[in-house]
Amino acid sequence: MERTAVRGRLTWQVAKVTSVTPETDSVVTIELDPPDWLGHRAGQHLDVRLTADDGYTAERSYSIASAPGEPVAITVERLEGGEVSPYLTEDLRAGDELELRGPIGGYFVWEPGDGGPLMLLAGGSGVVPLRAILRHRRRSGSDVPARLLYSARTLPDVIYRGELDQDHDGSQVFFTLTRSQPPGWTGHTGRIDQALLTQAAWAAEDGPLAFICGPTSFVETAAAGLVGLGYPPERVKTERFGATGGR
Amino acid sequence: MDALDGNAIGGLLIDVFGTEMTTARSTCATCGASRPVAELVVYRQAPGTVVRCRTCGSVLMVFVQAHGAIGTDLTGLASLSQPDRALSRQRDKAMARMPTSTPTSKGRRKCHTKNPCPWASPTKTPCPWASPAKNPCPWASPAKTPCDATRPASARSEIGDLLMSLRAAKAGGTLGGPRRLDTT
Repeated sequence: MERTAVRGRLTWQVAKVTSVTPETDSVVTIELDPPDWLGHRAGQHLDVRLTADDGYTAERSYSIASAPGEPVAITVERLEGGEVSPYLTEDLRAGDELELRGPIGGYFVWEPGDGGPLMLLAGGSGVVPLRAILRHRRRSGSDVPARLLYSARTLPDVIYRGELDQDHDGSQVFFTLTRSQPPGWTGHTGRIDQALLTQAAWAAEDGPLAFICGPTSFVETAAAGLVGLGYPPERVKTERFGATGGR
Repeated sequence: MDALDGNAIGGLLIDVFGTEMTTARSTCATCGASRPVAELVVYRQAPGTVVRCRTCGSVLMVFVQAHGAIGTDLTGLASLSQPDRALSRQRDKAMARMPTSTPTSKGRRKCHTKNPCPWASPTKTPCPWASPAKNPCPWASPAKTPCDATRPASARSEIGDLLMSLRAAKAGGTLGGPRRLDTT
């Protein structure tokens, strides 16, 4: 009904789930086939709406994990006691239908023409839109140098680990593990702070373009840190998520 | 309670404004701070969605959803403008592929009655664009806003006098063909 209301206006549609792929113990990537998709940009998100039998609805936003031109996919982390994510991560199967609308957002997006070097900072599942940016960079043949600094609790919590480990075509990936580290871990440890940013981030003189996505406290710390390093605030794009309404 | 940012309400803003608004530039009516909507502070756990200024904390926008309707309060904003139409362009391209009906003159007239010219009534300050049939209302076309209020008093009286004489001539049937109104 709504889809016919205003032609061209972004409205809800029912997409078929084409695959559900586990990424970690609590994270899955859901590939979708929406019938009316105009294409998306790297970094955008979409809204998912679940409707209960009694008509009650719950909406959540999830970053699009795939690059422009690839099938639409979202990566969802299960939040204990959550209203939507347990269904998406545990019950949803290929062939099911999911109501969504998108793509949404024009601020936290990157196009090859925007340049760089790219400084990407991810906290937990905040890596999802940054992965889309990295994939877009690779698929578009961009030679913009890129660095991803990814903060996760433990190594098994790292999403897209295999893909990020392989990603060496002019991009560098740094991990920092905040809660525990496996034996022999040579990467960074602890939460992102000024010392780590000084070590891992591009120098401000290189004119970097930064994208930070993660929980609010992570984003605040990382953004303040980059601005402290001399990054112009308008070159530091941020996206915060929380337990509700978040990714 | 963790605050989110304006990215989180991109979908809600499409519901309200009908277009992508996270790149729109907002100006706080309290402190004058200006930034993209995506950078504003957003609380979604409140009974409604509350959007605050990241500089002074003032409430800029409130949205309350109930029974399929959205109540909107934008009184905390001094302005909200959307310079980046990237997403709209994206949709426009797709729409260009669809069969669409051309807007009719009837539709345009309807639009005009929605946004009447503030100077349309001759009892108010006379305006050279008072006749919407011949000349576009300054509200409908912001690019052409030679409006009394923005002109020097001398120019206003000149235009006013000219217009009054034109109206008088029209009313008296002494005006034959179309005449050019030189406002320079």
